[in-house]
Amino acid sequence: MKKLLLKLITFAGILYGLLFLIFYFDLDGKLLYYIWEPMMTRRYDKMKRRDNTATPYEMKEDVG
Amino acid sequence: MKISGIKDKFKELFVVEKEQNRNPEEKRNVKKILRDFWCGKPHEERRLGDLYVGDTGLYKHREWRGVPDTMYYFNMIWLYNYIHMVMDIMKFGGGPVKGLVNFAKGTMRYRWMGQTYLTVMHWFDRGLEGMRGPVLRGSAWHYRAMCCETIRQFQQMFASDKNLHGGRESEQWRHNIAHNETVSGSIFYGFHDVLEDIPLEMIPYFVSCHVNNHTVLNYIDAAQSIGLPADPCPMCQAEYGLFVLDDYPDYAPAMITSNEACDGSVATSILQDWFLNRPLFAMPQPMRYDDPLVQEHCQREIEACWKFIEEQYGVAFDWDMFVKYAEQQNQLTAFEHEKWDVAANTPYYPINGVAQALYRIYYSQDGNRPIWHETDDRVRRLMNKTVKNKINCLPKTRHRAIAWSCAPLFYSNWCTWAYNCWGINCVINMDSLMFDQYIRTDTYEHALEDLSWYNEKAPMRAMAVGGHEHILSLWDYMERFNCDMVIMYDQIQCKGMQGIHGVFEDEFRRRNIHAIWVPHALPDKRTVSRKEIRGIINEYMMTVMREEPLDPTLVDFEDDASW
Repeated sequence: MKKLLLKLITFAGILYGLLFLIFYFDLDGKLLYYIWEPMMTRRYDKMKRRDNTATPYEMKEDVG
Repeated sequence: MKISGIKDKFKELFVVEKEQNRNPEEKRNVKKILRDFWCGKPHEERRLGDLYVGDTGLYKHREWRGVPDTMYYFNMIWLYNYIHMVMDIMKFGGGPVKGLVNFAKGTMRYRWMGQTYLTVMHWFDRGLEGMRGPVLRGSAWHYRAMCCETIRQFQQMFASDKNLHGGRESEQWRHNIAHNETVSGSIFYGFHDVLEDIPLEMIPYFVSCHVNNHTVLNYIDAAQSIGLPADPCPMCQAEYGLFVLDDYPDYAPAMITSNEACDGSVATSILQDWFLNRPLFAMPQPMRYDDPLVQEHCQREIEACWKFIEEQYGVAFDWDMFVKYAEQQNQLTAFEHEKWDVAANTPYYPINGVAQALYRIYYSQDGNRPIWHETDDRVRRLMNKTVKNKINCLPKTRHRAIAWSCAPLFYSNWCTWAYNCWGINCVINMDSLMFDQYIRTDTYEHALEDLSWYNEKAPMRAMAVGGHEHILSLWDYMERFNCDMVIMYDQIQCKGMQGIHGVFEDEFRRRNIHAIWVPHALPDKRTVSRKEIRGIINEYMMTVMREEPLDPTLVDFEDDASW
């Protein structure tokens, strides 16, 4: 039990340290900027979309 | 990539250049090194501009603010917000699995979601740069609240979005009301427990510009690509660009729209009516809103809106429900007045300029939600402490500024930069002062009258294009908030404000007021860049005020490619 607790504390300590490194060196920002955003932009640019300009424009009978 | 290339990239991304001409004795002063480590460097020695990676706005490393403030930022802002964002996604998405699945679907489907909101922690970074102590904490709680409410709104949209659920009209879809972002959430208090009102453009357009201004450019270009003119307000262009690009969630059977308190935006409503192709009620705010003749007309329009909702959704307006939420909203207004009192009369106000501006416009437009009360409780406790202990929250203040007219959405954090670089403390701004209206709940007539006023004091309308006497109330507010400088926003595509430019020029001269004109095109950073805005302020501070910058590394730097 004591060993397990020690392991958990060590694991939590290492995780906390790693998270601090991600925070301090702005690794989250760098990942999003250099990898995530270009990847998603390519996806959205290629995405097939409805042509909304084809929506019929008619007179409404009951205008509020 | 060659080894030297990797080294260069590493240097570019992580290594902060050593300061030239640094006193060698200082380098060996262990006491100072330890003090800087524990307390953070004094303002004048921070060299925040050295931390940026080229023009990206990223940091080689995040700022070291001293042990207590860095650990607060790491634990209570960065980590806390990442964890709570996941929790909010699950909570507001109707459970862990459903919430996460809908979030993933929305991220893959909508550009404004996947490209914008994942970068949210950098929005915090930009707004909170250089902040220490209570002002770091108070401002961060404001950001946290906006973050939470944004997640609530997009998760509500995704949960009922026909685009994400095979065109299916769910039960939730039938209970949602879509409305223009400038139709106040307070209009819907009488239906609050049975219907969900969700502004259509607030998250896909407005908040996205602040968080990551790359996204909005797609919508502006899309609007112009179908032949719509490029010279109206780019806010209107972006809002109908969402439809041209088919990037709006289909989450409600009916829409309440307005003229967005700017008559140039009427076209947005017309185009939305076309693209949405479903029942739509238009509730424009009048131009000369304080004319007594228009008051009754506005009240009848609100009642007609309620009737429209009753007919479309088959639910009745509930007076008791309205009273309950209007009274809760009044509590928010009362605390706002307390905050203004501290901001106006003391240096103990623990909120910086950008947090004040964004939080106030967000909650007063959005309407009563539990997160605003939770945040106000936290900020009240903090503010009581700073006032009691007389803590000067922004101690490097050289000038107390009021920002007037509509702000550049792509550079709302200019005031954080202006404080760090020049000691300009933007105490209050025009958008914060709108919606200054309690709603009486003693009788239906009083409530309707006040609600009508509230709706008419919408962003841009009350002071920007609501008649020259309101625009010129600047002088009164300047005095009330003890300001010695005006940052005068010049939205160059706003035809309303352009018309009164000369009057302000004359009045500034006549009253001998230090005023810096800041041109911008609301969400579009391509027209006037952030660097150009800084250049204008720099030039005024150097040539007219003859002052030296507090942090010289912030005077001239590139950030054109940043979020």
